[in-house]
Amino acid sequence: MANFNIDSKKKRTFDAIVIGSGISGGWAAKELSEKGLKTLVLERGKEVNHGDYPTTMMQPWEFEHLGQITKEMKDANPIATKCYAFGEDSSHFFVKDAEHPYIQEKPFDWIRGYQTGGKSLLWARGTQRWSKYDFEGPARDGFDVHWPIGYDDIAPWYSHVEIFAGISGNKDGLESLPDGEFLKPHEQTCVEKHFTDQMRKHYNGARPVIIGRCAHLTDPQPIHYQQGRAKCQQRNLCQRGCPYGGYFSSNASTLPWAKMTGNMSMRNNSVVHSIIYDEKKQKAVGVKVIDAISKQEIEYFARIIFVNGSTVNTNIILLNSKSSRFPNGLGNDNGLMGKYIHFHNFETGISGEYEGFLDKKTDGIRPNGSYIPRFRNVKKQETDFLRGYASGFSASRMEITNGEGWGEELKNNLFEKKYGNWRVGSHFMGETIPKISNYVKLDETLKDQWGVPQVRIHVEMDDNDAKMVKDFKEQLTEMYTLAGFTNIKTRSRNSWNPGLDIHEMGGVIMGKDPKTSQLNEWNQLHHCKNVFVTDGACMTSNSTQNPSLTYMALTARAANHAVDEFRKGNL
Amino acid sequence: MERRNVIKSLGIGLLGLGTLPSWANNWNSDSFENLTFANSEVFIKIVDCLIPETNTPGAKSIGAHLYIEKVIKDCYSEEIQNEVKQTLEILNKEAVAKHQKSFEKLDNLQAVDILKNSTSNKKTVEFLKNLTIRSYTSSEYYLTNHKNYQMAPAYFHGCVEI
Ligand SMILES: Cc1cc2nc3c(=O)[nH]c(=O)nc-3n(C[C@H](O)[C@H](O)[C@H](O)COP(=O)(O)OP(=O)(O)OC[C@H]3O[C@@H](n4cnc5c(N)ncnc54)[C@H](O)[C@@H]3O)c2cc1C
Ligand code: SF4
Repeated sequence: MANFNIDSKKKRTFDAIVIGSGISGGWAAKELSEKGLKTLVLERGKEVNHGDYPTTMMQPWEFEHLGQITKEMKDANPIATKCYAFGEDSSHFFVKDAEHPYIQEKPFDWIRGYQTGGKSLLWARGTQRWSKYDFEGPARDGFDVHWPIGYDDIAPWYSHVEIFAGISGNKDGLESLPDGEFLKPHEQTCVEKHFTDQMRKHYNGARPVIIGRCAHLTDPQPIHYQQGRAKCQQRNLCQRGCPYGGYFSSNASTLPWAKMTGNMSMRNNSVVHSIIYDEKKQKAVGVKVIDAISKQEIEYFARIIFVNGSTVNTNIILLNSKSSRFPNGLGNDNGLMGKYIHFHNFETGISGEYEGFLDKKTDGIRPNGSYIPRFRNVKKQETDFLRGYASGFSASRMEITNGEGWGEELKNNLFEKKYGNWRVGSHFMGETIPKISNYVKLDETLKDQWGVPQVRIHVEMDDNDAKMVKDFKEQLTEMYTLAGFTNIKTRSRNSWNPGLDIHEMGGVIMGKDPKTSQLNEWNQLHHCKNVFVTDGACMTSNSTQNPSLTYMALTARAANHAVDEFRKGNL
Repeated sequence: MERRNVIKSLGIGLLGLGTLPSWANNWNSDSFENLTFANSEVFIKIVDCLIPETNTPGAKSIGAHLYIEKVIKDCYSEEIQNEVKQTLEILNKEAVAKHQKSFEKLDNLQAVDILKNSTSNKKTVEFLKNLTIRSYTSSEYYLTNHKNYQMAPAYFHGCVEI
């Protein structure tokens, strides 16, 4: 019996454990296994192998409701259905509200994907580097906690992940948005180019408008073919999963790669309940898992643990990892774990029309748009609010459906080929200030069906956010007007709540000082160095870029550091 | 980059004419256990008179009536469902009063005339018309023959002559 136990424990012992198989966990798995570490990936959701995308080849007319969500689905999922990507073709990749309850102390739209690949199947693939100004921002503007690293520390790791993931973009030479290792860029439309030119002229180069940088294989290289991926066929149906591996997902890229090394094992339906801390060894030795289906408890052991459950889940796991050394959660000596939750403000947008280029249209499909990098307060403070915002920009032209008339007249109208004006629009992505008053914490009594405490979320917008929204409306209206756009309308999305950005960050943030932060410059818990946090929870601030590329780079950087330390016997 | 906008654009390809969508082939009366509408024949007449069969397929042969019935039942509130039900009843009453037959038995011109001039809720008639148009313009026939629809064009040109 004793032997059996030892054997069984041996089978459950690895060099490294990665919690979560989404964008960041996939990268941890790839780097660790590629460097020779026996790695176990624990994923709470169901198995989705690359290619297991049931709707991906369906034609529009094959959907019973032509893409529309049923009332039953909407009523049962008031939160998940708020996500623009939640549709008849993609609903199976979203967490349903009732299955995973949480407590909203303030309205928070928590959008989740629990399966192999996490939200990497669903994401919109916007990928921009941070600049040095972004990392220096918190110190310059007097935030509570400052970054322990700068652009130079992460730049080589941006290159590392960009080359493997495949990022398309143009070398724009901007200080505020450094160039990366780009594949061929997508093309701007006539009106997007017009806008770019007009802005260059009117603002002397201070407000560049560029083609978006995104994780699509526009021009696949040998490294991508080796992953089994092929050129993006420009369908823009990515939320269904891509049969060609045309965009970056863990499923198409990092996970199959990790598997090919022979060093990675993956266990699905494995809800990590907590991390096990050994008081004698003074480090973490493994994790406690609840099988999602059988509800049985099982322990796995490793010398390195990467926590990549996506921001809020990572906070939950660590806060729930209680021991006599860490009664308030693993590594949480300063009591600040779970605080400083931050997000991107997406609450506003603008649209308009352009009456020029009426003899022109676009042809084909582009899974991307143009992008206006942040132009406010980049090098110095210029406005009555702190930080700034980035914006999307897209201009397209559709055939009009003329639904006038009845009978044969209507039918003829529907066959008419007529184009409307060019339509232009921008969405807003505002940086928010990380605050101690925005937090997540564990409920003292309520638990989920796996016995994990439910999370209470308390995240609010503030006055700085309101001022920034106002500025966006004024500035973008001015820019649209200067470009000759008409019918300009700004909008406020009143039903928008923090969380719906799906860029939630913080709670287990990086910093120099263990008194005010949880993680050091290598994403190790200050007080438990063999535990690494490299998803959104680690982010000290949020800047204005879509965050996942930075999670990838931080993860690759931390994983390589972990391997070095492991080899030196320090972990 | 909304998918729906993309569907409204582009591509090339020629597939069968006027075939029913695959979900409509699987459709059977079992899926209408709690049938909300007593007389679904009315839907056939509505879509047929709105977008009739000519030398090209109309809304009936692409199965717009099946879609309408299904989408109203699955995707809209009870309130809207009731408004539709009432509207169908009124249309039927007006048909009987004017032509001494039920709505679905009218010829297409008579049916259009009733729809256009019905005393029933104009908003609901407009709603039914929009659903019919939506179904027709999303059909395989329409997209592949009239919209150059292509699922995976594999290219994008930002500025071409019309
Ligand atoms: C519609 C949409 C559009 C988006 N667009 C963009 C974009 O354009 N650019 C961008 O940068 N980002 C975008 N995002 C955000 C992006 O998806 C996330 O930033 C990214 O997926 C985060 O990676 P992650 O590894 O932290 O988490 P995820 O990818 O969510 O993966 C976390 C994984 O951990 C698992 N897990 C959680 N808890 C546990 C547990 N206790 N035990 C075991 N496993 C667990 C989950 O099941 C999941 O598989 C978008 C997201 C959505 C939904
Ligand atoms: S746009 Fe490209 S990546 Fe997205 S689903 Fe289509 S082929 Fe795949």
